[in-house]
Amino acid sequence: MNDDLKAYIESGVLEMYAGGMLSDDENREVEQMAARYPEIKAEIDAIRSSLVTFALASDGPRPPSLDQVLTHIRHADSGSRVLGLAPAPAVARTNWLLAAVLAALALSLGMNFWQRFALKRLEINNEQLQAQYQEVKAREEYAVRQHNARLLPPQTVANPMPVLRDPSYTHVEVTKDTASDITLYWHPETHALYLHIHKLPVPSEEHQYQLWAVIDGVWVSAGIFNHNTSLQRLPVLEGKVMSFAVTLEPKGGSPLPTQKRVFAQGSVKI
Amino acid sequence: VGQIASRESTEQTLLDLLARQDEAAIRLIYEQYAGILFNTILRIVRDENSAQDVFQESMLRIWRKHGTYDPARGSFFTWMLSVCKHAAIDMTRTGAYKRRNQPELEEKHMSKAENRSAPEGENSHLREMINLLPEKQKTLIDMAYFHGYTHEEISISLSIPLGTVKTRIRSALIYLRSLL
Repeated sequence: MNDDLKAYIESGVLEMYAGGMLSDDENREVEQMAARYPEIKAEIDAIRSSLVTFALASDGPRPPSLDQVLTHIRHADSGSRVLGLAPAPAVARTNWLLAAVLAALALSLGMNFWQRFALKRLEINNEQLQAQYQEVKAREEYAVRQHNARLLPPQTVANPMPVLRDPSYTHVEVTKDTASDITLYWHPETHALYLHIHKLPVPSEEHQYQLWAVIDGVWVSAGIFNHNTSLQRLPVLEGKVMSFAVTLEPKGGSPLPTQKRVFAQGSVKI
Repeated sequence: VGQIASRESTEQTLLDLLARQDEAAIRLIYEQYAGILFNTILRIVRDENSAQDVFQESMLRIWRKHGTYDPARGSFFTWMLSVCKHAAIDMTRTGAYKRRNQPELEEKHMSKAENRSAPEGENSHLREMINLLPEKQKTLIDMAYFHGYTHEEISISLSIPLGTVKTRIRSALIYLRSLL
């Protein structure tokens, strides 16, 4: 890196750029430099990454929640009330029972954000509401079926070498930080699934780790597993898996993730 | 999780989602930029309640007017900043804002910040890491990025030269990066 570039990076201007503290002209200047020099672009990405992390732990003034923002936008867009946990009047007139069921369903989904997201997008139009409700219900039933079908205990693998060395398996690194490190071995044809734990924090007695597969954007249980068994075989997993994630769930697992904290996550690269 | 996508790919994804009017765009903006955009607003309106109103309004403007963004004039990030700044300035011109804020601006803003307790739960690990930062550096980042202070204001209130403010903020962010 030449001295001019080094001096530019060290001037503090990139920290101000990432913090939105520069004028529009100054912003453009930084962006032109970033387009020209990959070192500057990398520095900006790193600064942003640090700031996002700091923001999560900051106790400073906070923006309104994401839910509030989305509600505000939907309200402004539709000019009518948005379906929340309380039934909206238009729904109540046309199909109060459906609205009540939806409200109860929304409540039961708790922290599961994609479901919650899908539900909150339901608009007052009754026909659309019916269709989307059926879709959400079908997804939930599918998730429950998948979960029940995969409640078999994981099998310990006595001789791991054949699996670990078999090149036909897709390897998926499922990690988050230095505390969680797992490798999955998933066979694209037989759909056999092995889980190899390198490192994972010990859970409390009431909790158990659960593996999730994200299939077509939907979280599907891929099975519960033991945190203290190095290599274990999970039930066969079919479908076009985009990524895997690990959450800590109440013992016995859950049909849908109930915990907000994702311990580890990794994308499938085929 | 935890890994931040590059600015260009995030922005392109955002633009695609906004073009489809997919609410995932708002979610992505919120996750990646809410802190910075909110702080930009806070620097102008200097009052948390007003800043929250302006933030909502800004998100709505971004949602509705993303089609006016011209890539030739800068990044989408800069455009979003500009939307937030304009919305914040609009707010400061309203009579309601003036009546609500003028007399006790600084005091009100500070007391809210000082009385707030940190969020619980999943962020405790992050807070522990943040707490490893030397106190002076932590204060600087907090003031600059999360309490809406300009570098000049930090320089005056902490009695340190402006150049030192910049270099200390940079050192703090580098140190923070080494902890993550």
